[in-house]
Amino acid sequence: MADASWPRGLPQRARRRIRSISISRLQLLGYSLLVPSFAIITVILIWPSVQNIALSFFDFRLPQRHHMVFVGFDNYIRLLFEDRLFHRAFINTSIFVVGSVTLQFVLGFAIALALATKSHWFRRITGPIFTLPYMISPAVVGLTWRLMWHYNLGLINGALSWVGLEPVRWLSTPELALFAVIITEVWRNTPFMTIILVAGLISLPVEPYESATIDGASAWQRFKWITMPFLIPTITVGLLLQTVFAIRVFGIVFTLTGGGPGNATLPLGILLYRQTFRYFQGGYSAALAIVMLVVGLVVSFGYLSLLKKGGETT
Amino acid sequence: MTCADTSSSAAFAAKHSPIWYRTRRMLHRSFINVFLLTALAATIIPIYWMIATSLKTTAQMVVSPPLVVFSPTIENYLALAGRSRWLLRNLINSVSITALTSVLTLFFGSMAGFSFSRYRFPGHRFLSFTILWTRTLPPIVAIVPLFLWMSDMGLVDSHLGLSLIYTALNLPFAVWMLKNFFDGVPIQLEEAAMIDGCSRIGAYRRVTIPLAAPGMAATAIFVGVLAWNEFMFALIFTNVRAKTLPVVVMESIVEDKLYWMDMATIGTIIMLPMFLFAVIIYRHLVKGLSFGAMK
Repeated sequence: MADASWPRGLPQRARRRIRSISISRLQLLGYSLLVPSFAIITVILIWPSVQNIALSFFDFRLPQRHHMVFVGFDNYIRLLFEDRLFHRAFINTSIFVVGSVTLQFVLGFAIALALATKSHWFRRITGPIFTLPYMISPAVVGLTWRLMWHYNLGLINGALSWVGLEPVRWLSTPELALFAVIITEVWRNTPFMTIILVAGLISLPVEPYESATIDGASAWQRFKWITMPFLIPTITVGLLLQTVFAIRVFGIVFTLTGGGPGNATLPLGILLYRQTFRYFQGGYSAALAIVMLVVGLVVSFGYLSLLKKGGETT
Repeated sequence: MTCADTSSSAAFAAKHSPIWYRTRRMLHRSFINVFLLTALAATIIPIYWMIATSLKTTAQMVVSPPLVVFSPTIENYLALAGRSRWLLRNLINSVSITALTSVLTLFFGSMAGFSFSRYRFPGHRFLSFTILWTRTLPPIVAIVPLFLWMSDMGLVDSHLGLSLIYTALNLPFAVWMLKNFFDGVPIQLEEAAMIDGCSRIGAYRRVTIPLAAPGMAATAIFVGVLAWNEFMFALIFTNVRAKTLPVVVMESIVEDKLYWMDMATIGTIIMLPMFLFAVIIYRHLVKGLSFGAMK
């Protein structure tokens, strides 16, 4: 009877059409909508990366590809066991990644927690300001901080002199330069951590907190037993992304120190750039790129297995 | 027993007396406020410093220790406008590459995001994770072969070439953000539209897109910001015709001598649109980047 009360024409046709579309056709539509995105990513990123694996077993100078000599694992052996510059860059990158990601996480989490206690409108106003550094080009960030750390003109030495301290040669002392690079990176990338943690924090359900408060749980207990378990997936994804981004750092260091003084702040990314576009070492730089890829993969699988383990226990 | 009980309840009363409670809360609050203020200051000062430098004369610039208070001048901007032919061209390059990237990414990304949000098919979970996972691959690995085939195709130093690279780099995040926004549009609305006689495409065009529009705009801006700022690929894949502003600002380093005014002026020009965009997209960014929901 309900059917009879429906007007004739369009609705029935629409209903018939909905029924007539088989599930497999819908699934086909679902797949076909994915094709362009996957095609672009494959052509631009995945396929060249695969080609790169092949190139890493050859020896050739970059502009020409005709005199390629197959050398097996020679590039890798040279890189991993003989190249002092690679060792230097690897150590630099490791210090940089551990230092900057740790600081970003601690600061980002603290800011996110502090923002979560504030009112909605306070977050609306300060949120964009906290986001700003992440929206500035790494090239501009590097140059701005080059001015900030500058011996004579820099604001940091200026601040030191106002409180009566000696100025410091930040960018020309090896250890301090690496420290300066880390702080600069932290300044730019902390907002990313803050944003995704704020997103995680404000989407937490309220009920567990209410019942925990009624049961007499302290603030610390609520944080430990409710907030943290809910946030673990967000934190893991955030740390994973920050770590893989830090491993491939380029722009900020390129403009801040250029890898100097000496090679004290040389990261793998700039080493690869130099090998490729200054020394035109085709196969050698391909091997270096693969090593970077493997390091990134190991790190991301480490995080993901951590996430899985955490998911099982909670 | 009773004695212990009274003492503990006295301690309880002391610990939870209104005055103690209020002081503790005030201390707690002021600690949070001081922390947030410090963080805000640390965020703003370098940005202020660059803008301030762009408004200084050379004489004001080289004073040591640096001047915090000074009378601003737009001299540097006028000087830059005087020799603006090349800069204008780079500005146009930046704008057009940013726009092209946003359009391409939004078009293809919303197809994939819609698919992940609406259709359930075998491999759904695997594919949606794969696309996010490609973002964790270092794009630098692709550079040598990519450079070789792009130069064969004449795509090096072209707007289209650089935009395609940025599209590939941005699609993973864009797809996830758009999926999150499409998830926010109830599927019942689409069904209702279809029952009222819309085709599948029509329902998408008339119902889904208008409702997801703010999120899509935010995604477009997010992608645009990344393209506008990108440095490494711009440095490698452009020479003259498609050179973008971040590469130009890098060129203010000449033989280890920095032209601070040029740097600060061009840097400020690169940065200024971001103030606006940060305000527009912050709220959507918080929604769109909630990867926590993917467990």
